[in-house]
Amino acid sequence: MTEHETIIASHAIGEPVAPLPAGAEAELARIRDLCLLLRQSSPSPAAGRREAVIARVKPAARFGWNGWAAAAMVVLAAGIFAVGYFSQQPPVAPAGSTTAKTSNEPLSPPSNEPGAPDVRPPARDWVKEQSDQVFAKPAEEGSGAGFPPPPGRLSGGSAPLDPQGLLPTVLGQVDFRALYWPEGPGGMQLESAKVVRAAKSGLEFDVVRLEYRHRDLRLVVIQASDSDAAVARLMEPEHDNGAAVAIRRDGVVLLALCNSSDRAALQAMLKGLRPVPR
Amino acid sequence: MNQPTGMAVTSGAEQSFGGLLERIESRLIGYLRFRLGSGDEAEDLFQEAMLAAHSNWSEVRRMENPEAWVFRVARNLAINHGKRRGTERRVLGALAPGVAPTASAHAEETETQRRIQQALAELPEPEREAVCLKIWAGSSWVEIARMLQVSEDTATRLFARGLKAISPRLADLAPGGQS
Repeated sequence: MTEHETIIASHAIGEPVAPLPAGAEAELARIRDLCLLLRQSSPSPAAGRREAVIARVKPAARFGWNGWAAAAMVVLAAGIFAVGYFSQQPPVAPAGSTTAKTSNEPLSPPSNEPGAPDVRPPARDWVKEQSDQVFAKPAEEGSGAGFPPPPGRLSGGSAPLDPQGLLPTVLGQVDFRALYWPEGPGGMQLESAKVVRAAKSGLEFDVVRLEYRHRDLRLVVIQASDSDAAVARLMEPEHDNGAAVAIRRDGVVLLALCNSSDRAALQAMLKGLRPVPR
Repeated sequence: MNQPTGMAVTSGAEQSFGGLLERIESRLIGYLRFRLGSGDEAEDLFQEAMLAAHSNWSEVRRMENPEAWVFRVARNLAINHGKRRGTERRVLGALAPGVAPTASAHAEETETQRRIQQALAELPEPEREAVCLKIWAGSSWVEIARMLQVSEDTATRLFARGLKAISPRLADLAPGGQS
């Protein structure tokens, strides 16, 4: 390889790095023709190719997500959770008590069998534990700690973090226990938990997909070490949407969470779930 | 080149994204096709790259050269894809020799594209990458040097060396080649 050929190639591409050597016109013409051939060999725009991309991104774009819209959706989602959560909460019970029911504080609505003791936790304590303990200091790997189940709801000090055997507790550098809701927000029941792959900027991430249900309300939480990866996962066709917080056309609420900014947002949201004194 | 009219889009951001999509489509598909040696895989990664652009659109749309960003993403996707494909071929080859997919399996490409694909496939990786990035991505020497982790002079030399190597094999296809 000589400097001569580099100069010819640079002229052929239209970005000369030095003056063209004398007598090199024929060679330049040959290389220039080659560059032209290569450029012309690009596949023509194919029918439907761009439409396919637009179809995949359009649901998100149609919503016009921006900071305010996302913030509004967070507030809306928080409201939905709050309604579901407090509609099932018993009155505050004395600390350490296994029953919250007292003669002058009826449960509303009753979810247990008639006469059975209600072992659900005091709402204020649970919310405070979640927001203050879990988010403030992530659990140590393998400790079995993490997002604690509501005291009294699950027997034993270390309730299984993955009742379905599907959810890893630690994935890479991310401790997903910190965001793991055994019962979901608002007393929602965990229906499925699985690890799925997400691609973002050419890199692939393992993310955790949790699906909760409470009556007709369904919630999908995508947890990842990177919020963009979580959002990227929400972009998959079956989700039909893409945003940090979104409501699918069929009413399913989608949340994309990571362990940095989104976790902080979630923390703020949880701290906002304070029961009103009765 | 025959370009379709604009997309039926509504919002401003969407129009900008649609504009990027329209400007970049042929070159990105060309880059991926000749980089990967497969039309089908190029179509898949094209969508992935554009979805990545849309996911990061708030930042990408403010970039001085969003196309360069998309090409970098596409290149990363192609690298990851190449690694994965290599593993698949090794596994498939071990299970059933001869069953592993080949780069020439795509049926829709033209004879010219197939010849170019073959010629490029025989180039060493850095030369092929330099040619693909310059011809189809329109990358600057600085960008090519950064992506290949070489100096600008080396990037220029890799490009020139790649062109020189494929030139004899494609001489009859070039506009003045048969005269």
